[in-house]
Amino acid sequence: MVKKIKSRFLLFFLIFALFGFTVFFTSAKLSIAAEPIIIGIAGAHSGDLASYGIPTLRAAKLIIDEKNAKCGINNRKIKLLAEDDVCKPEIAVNTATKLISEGVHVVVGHICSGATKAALGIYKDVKIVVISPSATNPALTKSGNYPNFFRTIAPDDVQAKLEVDFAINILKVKKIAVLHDKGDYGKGLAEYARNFIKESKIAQVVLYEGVTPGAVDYSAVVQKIKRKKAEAVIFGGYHPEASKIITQMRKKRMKTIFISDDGVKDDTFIKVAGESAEGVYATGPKNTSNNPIALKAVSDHKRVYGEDPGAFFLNAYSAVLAILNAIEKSCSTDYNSLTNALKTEFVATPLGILKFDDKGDAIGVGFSMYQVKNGVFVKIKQAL
Amino acid sequence: MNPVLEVSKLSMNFGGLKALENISLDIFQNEIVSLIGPNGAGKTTFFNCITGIYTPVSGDIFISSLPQKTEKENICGLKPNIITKKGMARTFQNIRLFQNMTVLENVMIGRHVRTHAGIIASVLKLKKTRNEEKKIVDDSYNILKKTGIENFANEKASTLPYGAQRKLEIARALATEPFLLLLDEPAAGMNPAETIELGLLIKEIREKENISILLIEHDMKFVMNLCDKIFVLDYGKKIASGTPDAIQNNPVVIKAYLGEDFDFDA
Amino acid sequence: MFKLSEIIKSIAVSAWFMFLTFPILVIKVNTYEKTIDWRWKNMILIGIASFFLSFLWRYMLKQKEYGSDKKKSKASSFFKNTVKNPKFYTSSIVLILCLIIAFPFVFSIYQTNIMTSALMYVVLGLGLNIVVGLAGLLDLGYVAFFAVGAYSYALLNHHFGITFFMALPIGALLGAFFGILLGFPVLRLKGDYLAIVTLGFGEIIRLILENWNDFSFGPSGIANIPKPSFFGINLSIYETTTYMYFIMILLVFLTVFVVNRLEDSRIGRAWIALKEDEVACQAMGIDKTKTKLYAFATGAAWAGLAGVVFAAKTSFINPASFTFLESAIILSLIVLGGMGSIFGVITGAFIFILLPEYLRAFSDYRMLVFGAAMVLMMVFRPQGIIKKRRRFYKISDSGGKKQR
Repeated sequence: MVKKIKSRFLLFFLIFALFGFTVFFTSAKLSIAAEPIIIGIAGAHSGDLASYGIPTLRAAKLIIDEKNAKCGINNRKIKLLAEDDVCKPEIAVNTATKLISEGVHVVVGHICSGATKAALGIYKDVKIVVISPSATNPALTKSGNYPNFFRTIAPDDVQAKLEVDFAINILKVKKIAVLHDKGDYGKGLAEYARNFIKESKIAQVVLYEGVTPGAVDYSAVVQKIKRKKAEAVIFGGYHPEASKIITQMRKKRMKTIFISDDGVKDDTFIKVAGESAEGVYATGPKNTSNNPIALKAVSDHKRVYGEDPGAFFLNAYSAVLAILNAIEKSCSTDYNSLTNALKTEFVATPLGILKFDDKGDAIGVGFSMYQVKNGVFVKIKQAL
Repeated sequence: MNPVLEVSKLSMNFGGLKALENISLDIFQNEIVSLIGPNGAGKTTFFNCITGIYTPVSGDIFISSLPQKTEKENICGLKPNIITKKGMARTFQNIRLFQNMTVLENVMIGRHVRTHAGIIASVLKLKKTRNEEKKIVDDSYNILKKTGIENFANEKASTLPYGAQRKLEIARALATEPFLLLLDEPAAGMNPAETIELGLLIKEIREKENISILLIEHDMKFVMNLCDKIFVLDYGKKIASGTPDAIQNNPVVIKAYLGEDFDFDA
Repeated sequence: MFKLSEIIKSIAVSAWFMFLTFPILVIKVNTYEKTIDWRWKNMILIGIASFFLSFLWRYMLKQKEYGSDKKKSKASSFFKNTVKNPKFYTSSIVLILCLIIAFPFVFSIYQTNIMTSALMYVVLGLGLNIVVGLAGLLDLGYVAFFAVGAYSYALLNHHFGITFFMALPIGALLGAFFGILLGFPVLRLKGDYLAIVTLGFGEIIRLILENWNDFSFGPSGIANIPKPSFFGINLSIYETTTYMYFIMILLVFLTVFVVNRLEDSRIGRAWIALKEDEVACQAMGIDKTKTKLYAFATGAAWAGLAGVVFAAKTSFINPASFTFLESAIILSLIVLGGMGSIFGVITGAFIFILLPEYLRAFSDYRMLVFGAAMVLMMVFRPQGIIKKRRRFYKISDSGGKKQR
């Protein structure tokens, strides 16, 4: 038995040593850089939700390439470090530690709320400012737990409030069905919507239910909507489920109003749902397409990548601009001066001229209601 | 003196098929008893019933492990592991060793039922547990020596020659400290030399360990030389019982075997 | 040198691959300019590459079938001779210990962090190994117990302020309790049926966590789970990571110690016997019910323990972390490393968890490379990296004396 244990130990040792070497060589090359400002970009760059993470990476690249062409910020070059977190909390922890061990000064990300929550504690400990273009969970800013967190997107409850107010005050519906995709984002939004409807005391929630994401057939829930005689449906979730539900509703000749969120306000939704998409309402970030910076950002994207930018591109563009502006104005990457600069200095971004409130939410960033008309999302004029 | 095993009016059905019908038999201390009969007569079913693998439809199975004890215990319908604990151990017709364990470990499994160490004791390895472990190894090795396969102790069970595998099954059963050993075709597939050796082993087990033996066997020469008493089954019924001589001359038995081109002197 | 038939075979293989990869690697639709690029160069490269690789593939297969015996004996005898040397043995153990202790101080916080993850999977793997590798009960819902552990710490901390070290035994006990809970209904099931039911069980736990908002906070999960405290001192993130690493190292040592003891015990043998042959096992007087429940409970306890660490390490948990995929990963690392062997499981966990992290450099291709590595592994060494060997007992005639 001695021999066997020994030989196993040796094998174990060899494997261990092998990993040791790999680790050593991968980490050895990192210790040189110190001069440039390092910006970490964390988010989903592969997997199912990559389409939400990659636009952020591209936005950052566009800005940084431009700045670096003009000798960077404060005469320091900017270096970009992208790390994938696949939108999973447990991976996000690894991503975060990887970024801080590689000496990032600020982080743009993460993309999903869950991953952001998991990673924020780590950044908070080492005093690194994090600015997310898309993490909308209200608690991230409102709980006050994360003073290092900022975002260029309005939290979910703002969106839910808009959806509910729009349905009650403008569309004048009384019976609302609230659906969600059981996900962190969708369900959170639906909960807020349900509470706002209850508080309003004008309308009532006739159905509150989660649907299974990725399913093919939603006729059961569609049937329920029909039976409960709901006048409007508020759906919290992403476009794959929304397009299936709306298609099945329209097939049954139901004229129920469909209101959803920025997870649905995506051209893919119209492409998939086709004619059924007509008349669907969706909230989305305020349309700022006339903003000259936004126009420039989009045309840069088209020039470099040969296609239209994806989700949260403008938010990400704004986030990167905001953080770079803060670095420039405060002449440092020091935590206190950075947070101070973010809260006091206005910055021109594609989303308008921004600064951040004490909790980290951008002032002036909000949502508008859009409706699908002739195959495109059009902003509704009589918004609140 | 009570019989060590007394089966009375045991019946077993599979759907509509009567596999066993009112079988009664008894085995006394230190007897070697054989159960014979043509293929499909219900011998293995009978074994499975009395070892708890099947639950009989009706009938009783009494054991009394101590001959001087007057009360009998009905074990009909108990779980197999409890029956083994009460002192009846068996082997299988189609060898069922733990193929990937070593020979010694196979026998050590047999000791399981007579030892006590639980999870916590095993983890802490208290002195008591250590001693018990040591004793398990010693006892198991001694049993291997008795059955004459100690040279294979650290081989994997599946690598053993056929005869040795049969013996290992017996050794494993012996490790549970039975008062009655049930052997299902122990000589099947053995060559004549191995069969003779097996006969000696069985006799030795009876003499040295005071264990009674019930066996199923097709090799008539082996049965006639070894057994004190024979029961004959045919189509689930007991058709005869008695000493080897009586059975050999019983016309009913001969008739039952005629279809099989049978010769008792083979 | 090469037979004509082999060349024809390889040509067929390369043609097939060219056909298969045609839509993804040759045609590229440029949506912006609305044109199609035909990248014929890729096709030629694939053709040539698959032609030569198919030769290599066949050669390797042949090697595996014929030549492996000879080579192995030579290599292993050399191996044994080196290892026999006691000096080498002790020095290598000392070296490993030094490496383990020095690791977080030499390498970055990121390396320490992913090493902690890998160690967590070692514990999970060893726990599942009791159920699958030893007792032979294919459990596809193992992640449920992991979730039980994680949520027991998160919730107990949230409501009652239970600390990490108090939560560790509670998580393990709750894990074991749920193990028994799962064990009862599946006692009579074997093989495929057992796998399906355990799979269902895993999903049930996840769905409960997802939908029972008042209890588990639903999909939004629980945030701000505190890291273990070090005698009340507030640690920085660097120190906490190192601290977690050492806690995990201790837990791994504990797991290896316990599992090793169990394997060579009366219960451990009963588990292995149960895996080999249930009927014979019962006939030998082993209580099937009890033994199976023991296996489920002990296996699940480790998952509960690892779950507590997971919750503390991530500081945020939601049901999305406990999907079937997680069970599948734990099972695969056991199979890859070598079912039933402790060192195999450890190796498997390191490869399975660390490799994808280090392959980050290949970013887009890392899962592809990883998948290919798995396939090759299963073709050329299906029994796993380290094969389980049976224990050798040395016995002198004067009485049993076993030697390690």
